[in-house]
Amino acid sequence: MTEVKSSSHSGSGASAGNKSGSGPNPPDNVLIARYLQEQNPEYFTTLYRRYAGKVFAKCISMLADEASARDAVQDIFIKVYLNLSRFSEQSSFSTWLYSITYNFCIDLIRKKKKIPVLLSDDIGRIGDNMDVDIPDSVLLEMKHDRLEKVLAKMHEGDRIILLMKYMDDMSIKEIADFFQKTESAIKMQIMRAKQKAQGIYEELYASDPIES
Amino acid sequence: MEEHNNSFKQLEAMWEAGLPPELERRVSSQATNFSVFGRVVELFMPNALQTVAHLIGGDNSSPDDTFSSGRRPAPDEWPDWRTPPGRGSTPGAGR
Repeated sequence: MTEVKSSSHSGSGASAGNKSGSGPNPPDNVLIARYLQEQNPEYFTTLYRRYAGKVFAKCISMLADEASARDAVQDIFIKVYLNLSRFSEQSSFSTWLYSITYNFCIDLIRKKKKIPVLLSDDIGRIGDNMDVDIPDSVLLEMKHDRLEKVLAKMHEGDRIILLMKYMDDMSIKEIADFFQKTESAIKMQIMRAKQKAQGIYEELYASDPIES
Repeated sequence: MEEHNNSFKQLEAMWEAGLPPELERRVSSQATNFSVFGRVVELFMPNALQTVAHLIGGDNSSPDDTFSSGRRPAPDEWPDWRTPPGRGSTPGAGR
């Protein structure tokens, strides 16, 4: 059995010194190629071990429910398993996997809440004076248990966009491409999501407001 | 343990740690089922489709399939074991 240690890195899933795939920790693309050639499920299990934690965290963060997240992880990995032959190496496996995860969870939220779109089109239109950019440090330095409660109270669209920006370190362009919006619309959405997060925090923890 | 310098990363690490271990078994057994099913389909589907095609009226003109086509064979097409007594070419046939 090919045992590969879990990697918390979201890149190729293997160390830089092991690009050939001959070592004990082969990169994702080597594992996929071997799986497609030999059809040995152990290679897929290795990929699962490498990424299941990250996918689970993303599902919980988006769906805000552990049971749904468990089912989502299972469905996502089966979807990946069935479509592994279609994976092209234009992007990294992790990027492909996370994009499947985002799309899967967003579809689930849309179906559950019966909403057609997650981000409305009027985000970028209004440029009123009420928009004050809150420093990133306000969110980044919040206690994580409080942040969890704040995120749980947010609208799905706002929550997901903050997670993409601050948890996955996606660039504005990458988020804009994903949602097929303009970069300015995404910047506006992030700014408003931060304001909402601050508002919810102040509601929940009135005695201990955030310093900004 | 990797140190996380912002609250989002800390939260992610906390959620990652909560991954239920039994999920791996569920995913791998489902993947194995799909794999087995795929192989069965790959092995038997071509023949099954051919059989269905024959059943719904397809004609196979191979002489070996004379009996399965439903046409009564002519006497000269009969196999040796059906040769009537006295007509066989082998000495002693039909006794």
